[in-house]
Amino acid sequence: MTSPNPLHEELRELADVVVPADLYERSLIRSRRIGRREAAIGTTAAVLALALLGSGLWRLPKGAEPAPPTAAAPVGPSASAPVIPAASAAATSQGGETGNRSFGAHRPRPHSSSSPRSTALGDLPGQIFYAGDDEGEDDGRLVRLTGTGESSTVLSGAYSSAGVSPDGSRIAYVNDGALMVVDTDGDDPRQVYAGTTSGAQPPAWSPEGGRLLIDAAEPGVLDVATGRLDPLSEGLDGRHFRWSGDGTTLVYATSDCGLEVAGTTADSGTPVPDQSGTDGRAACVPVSVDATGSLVSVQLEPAAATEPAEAPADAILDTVTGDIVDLPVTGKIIGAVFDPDGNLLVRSQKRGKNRLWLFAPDFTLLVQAREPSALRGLDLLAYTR
Amino acid sequence: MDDARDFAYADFVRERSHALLRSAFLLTGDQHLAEDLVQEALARTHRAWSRLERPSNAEAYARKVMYHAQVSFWRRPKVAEALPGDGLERHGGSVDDPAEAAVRRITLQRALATLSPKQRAVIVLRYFEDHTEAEAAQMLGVSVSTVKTQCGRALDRLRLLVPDLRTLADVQEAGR
Repeated sequence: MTSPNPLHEELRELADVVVPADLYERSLIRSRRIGRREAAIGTTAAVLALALLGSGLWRLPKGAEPAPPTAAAPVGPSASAPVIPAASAAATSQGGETGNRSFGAHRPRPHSSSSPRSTALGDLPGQIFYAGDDEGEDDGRLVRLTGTGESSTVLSGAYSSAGVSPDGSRIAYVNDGALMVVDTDGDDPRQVYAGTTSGAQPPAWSPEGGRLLIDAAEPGVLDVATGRLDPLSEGLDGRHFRWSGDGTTLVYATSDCGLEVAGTTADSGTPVPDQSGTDGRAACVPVSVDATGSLVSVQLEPAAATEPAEAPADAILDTVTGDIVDLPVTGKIIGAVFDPDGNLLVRSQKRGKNRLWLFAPDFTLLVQAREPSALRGLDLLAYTR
Repeated sequence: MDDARDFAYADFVRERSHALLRSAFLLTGDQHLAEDLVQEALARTHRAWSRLERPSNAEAYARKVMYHAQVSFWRRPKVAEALPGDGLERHGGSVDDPAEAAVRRITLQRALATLSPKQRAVIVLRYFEDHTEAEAAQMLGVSVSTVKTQCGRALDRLRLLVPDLRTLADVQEAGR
């Protein structure tokens, strides 16, 4: 800079307020704690894998296997599943090829080639929501696309993050630390909570639409009607929490670019087997979860990235095996979201044109349609009923 | 770590932790939150110490951890809600009128607290640590365009809330 500016001087004087502190011992204690935690995670996974191997379950024939709850639960609107047991997730990561195939064989997988039942956008049920990039001209805009092909802005102005309710009727967003809720067909927002930090936790609606998972002083579940906030268990050490469609399971990111799965009332989560290593990318941010918590759409990041950013999902991950699910989609995937019923909407881009692909929970391709060009500069945010 | 590395880490903490603490205080607005932030950054640096090619890389690593933790970690975007007015007299700045200086600092601190974590980080990087936009972008892992956008918004807000900084009209243009 050519001359001292007043802000530099003011900041320097403000920083003078801080009192020196001896942080040497504290940093060593914290470093050892981090080391113990990392070691504990590795040891737990190994012990669980050994226990499973010792039990001989991994050798059961396919027809006699005791399916893990998430895998066994039918994927659909009324499906319900308990928390993914630690043994299944850990074992599939440690148990070798036999274990992986055994547990994952009956799980729905996309067909290698499939023809869509429809190529008309009008046959796409539900509502699709897009968000403007905070760097472009669509700053702060939230747009809804319906099957008619018409798009409309349902939220504009300053907000830092937003979540759309499962029925598409309401939007929760954070504005200057206040959590607001507004109807998508109205313009009368109301404050439902004050003191929200949303950097790593956009408000996430529960499947029935009555609660919001937010980051207040700590992550917690807010009853929208009463304003009561119930903190999550301290054992759920994560961020970017997302609900499964049946409301029983949470998938979230850990601070070291991993994923964990937990029941909503559990005291701790189960690590999703390490997804990095194929091409050096890892799933650092879960974007949306299917009906039962067995699949999650994720944003893949370089494994070394210290801090992922909010961005659309570009892959689907099996939370039991950690495998990336191959989708029969042409072009580059630039968005993927599950609706609460487990239907998967994928957005792809090829030769400058965007397409929408709607898959049923069993990966039947229901609709493949061209996306209206007016939405090109926006990010896919949510797909709702 | 072996003894030599232990000593090197201890030297690093002794020499640089206060500088880190000053930046952390601007990011959090609170002595205790700032100490927590620096402690976390130092702990991560300690764990990475053997991977750092040169001890001189340690501060850059620690600062990167600190900024990332404050901007995006799930429990990290914390800023003091109440202002620590009781600490203002401990290390007074070089001003003619201490009372006026204290008021000015409180006003600025309140204004900083209204910024988003990313905006605050950009302001501290650009106008306290004097980084270029490109350096700030690299530190935060965002684009230069994002730094410009966030910086512009933050300066607008500071001008609005801190009357003494209305002369900031030219600050952005004077920046690199």
